[in-house]
Amino acid sequence: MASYLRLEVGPYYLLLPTDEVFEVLSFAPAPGEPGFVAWREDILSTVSLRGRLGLPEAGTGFLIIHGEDGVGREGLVVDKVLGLVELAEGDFQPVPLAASGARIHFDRVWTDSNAGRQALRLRSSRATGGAHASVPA
Amino acid sequence: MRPFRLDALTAVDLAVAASAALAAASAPDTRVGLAAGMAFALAVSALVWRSARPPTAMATVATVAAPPDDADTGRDGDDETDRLRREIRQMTTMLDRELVQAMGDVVARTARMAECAGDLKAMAADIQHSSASTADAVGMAASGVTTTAEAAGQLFRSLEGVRSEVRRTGEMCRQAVDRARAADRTVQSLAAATSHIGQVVGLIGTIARQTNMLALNATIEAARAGEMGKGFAVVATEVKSLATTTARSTEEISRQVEDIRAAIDGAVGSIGSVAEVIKALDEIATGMEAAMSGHLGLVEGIADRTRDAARSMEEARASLDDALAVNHKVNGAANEVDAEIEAVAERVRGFQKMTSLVVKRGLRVAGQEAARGLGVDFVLGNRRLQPREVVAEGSLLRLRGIEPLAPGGTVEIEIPGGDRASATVSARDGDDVLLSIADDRARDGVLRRLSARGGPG
Repeated sequence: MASYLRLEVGPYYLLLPTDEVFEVLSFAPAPGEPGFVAWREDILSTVSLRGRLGLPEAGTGFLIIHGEDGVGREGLVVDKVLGLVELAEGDFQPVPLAASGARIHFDRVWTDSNAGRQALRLRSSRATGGAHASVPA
Repeated sequence: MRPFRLDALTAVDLAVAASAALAAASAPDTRVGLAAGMAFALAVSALVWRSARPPTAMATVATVAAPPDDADTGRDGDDETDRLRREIRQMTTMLDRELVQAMGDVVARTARMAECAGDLKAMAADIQHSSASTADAVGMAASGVTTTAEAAGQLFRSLEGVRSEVRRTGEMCRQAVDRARAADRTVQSLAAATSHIGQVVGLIGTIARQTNMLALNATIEAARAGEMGKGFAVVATEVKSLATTTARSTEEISRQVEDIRAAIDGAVGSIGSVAEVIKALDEIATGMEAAMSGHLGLVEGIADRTRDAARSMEEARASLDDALAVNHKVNGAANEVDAEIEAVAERVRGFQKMTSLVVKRGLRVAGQEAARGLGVDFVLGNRRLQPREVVAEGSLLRLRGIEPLAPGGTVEIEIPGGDRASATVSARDGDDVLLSIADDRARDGVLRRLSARGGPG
């Protein structure tokens, strides 16, 4: 079993493994400091999943601090954090074709029967970072 | 009776008796020797008998060798006397030959006996040498066997010590197996404890993960609360951090516990292997003990047999010493036989010399008596010749058995009654001398005289 953060970014329902999640913070981008955030006497780069998914930026949201200690740690900006869920690997299914073309790696999909919708699992925290994270045109 | 006649008879008798004695000495067969000895005894008895006879009987015997002083007693008596003279001469000659032959046989047989005694001594010496060598060899063998017996005894005691050590090794192996089993039980307990620790650590890890999730949830809720939840968010984050650290620690502990469990499994396997090895050693020690017991029995048997062999060797050496002593006696006896043979030979040589002298003397006496019996005397200068026999050969007279005379010498022939004749030594023929009488009348008188005595014919 593994635990996942249930997230929402625009119309996307996403799952992020909690293995390297340190903290969930409310987030409002400071003017003039796009792409960075001060966190516990450290300056971390931030990644907006909206931007990666080709959605317009929203005003506020949540910042998920994740990644390994040191240079690999970053802040992931999402719209909402819905909660936690523990799932087994057998609970997942292959990613549908429409979503598989996204530039962000979604490796598996889970059907949330309680919410009546499907959640895409981000491959890993690092997979969400970098310039390659994008959605189809 | 004239003494020389008795002497002549005594010589002849002695010669006959000696011949019988020599035959007895040289006879290889005991019965023949006995018979010869009896003959010797008979001859001696005859001699004694003759010596013991009264004078009348002895005179009768004397006429065999020579006629009485009165040659004209009777013609028949003269003939008988001449015949006895001739027989005595013939017997004496035969006795001489027999004596020479018998003495030669005795000497040869004595020499052969000496050779045999020498061979016996040589064989005794060989036996002595061989027996001494054998005694040495037996002594060495006995010494070797004794040493072997002692070595076997030492080997037996050594094997007993080894068996004791092997038995002790087996006992130690069994103790080691017991201890290995105890160690295995201990390690199994340790494995169980470690497994329990792993379970506890797993529980702690689960709790840490749940704490982590709760802390993460708390951070989410604090984030939702906005500014009001910031302080709580910090606490929740710290709790989450502690939970994460706890989870990592439990993971590390779990890995350590797994390592310990793996090590314990290895130790259990090793202890099991050690126990198996020790068990195998125990079995080997048990087998060695059994084999050692068998070897001990064999070595004990070898030691017993070797001791028996040593005793037999000693007995053999003692028997050999006895044989050496007997051989020494044999050698001594051979030496005695050799000495006796030498003494016999010396006695035989003396006897041979004596009998030779006796025979020669007898022959000479017989010749003198024969010449005297002829009724004529042959005188050369002042010496009276004593021919053994006189034979007429035409106008010549052959005188036998006298010392050599140079041809041309004159011999006076005296005929009892006053007649004389001169003869010349005409020739020598071996031991004979031929006389020529120039005076026919004198020659006829001599021949008549001789013919009347039964001499030359």
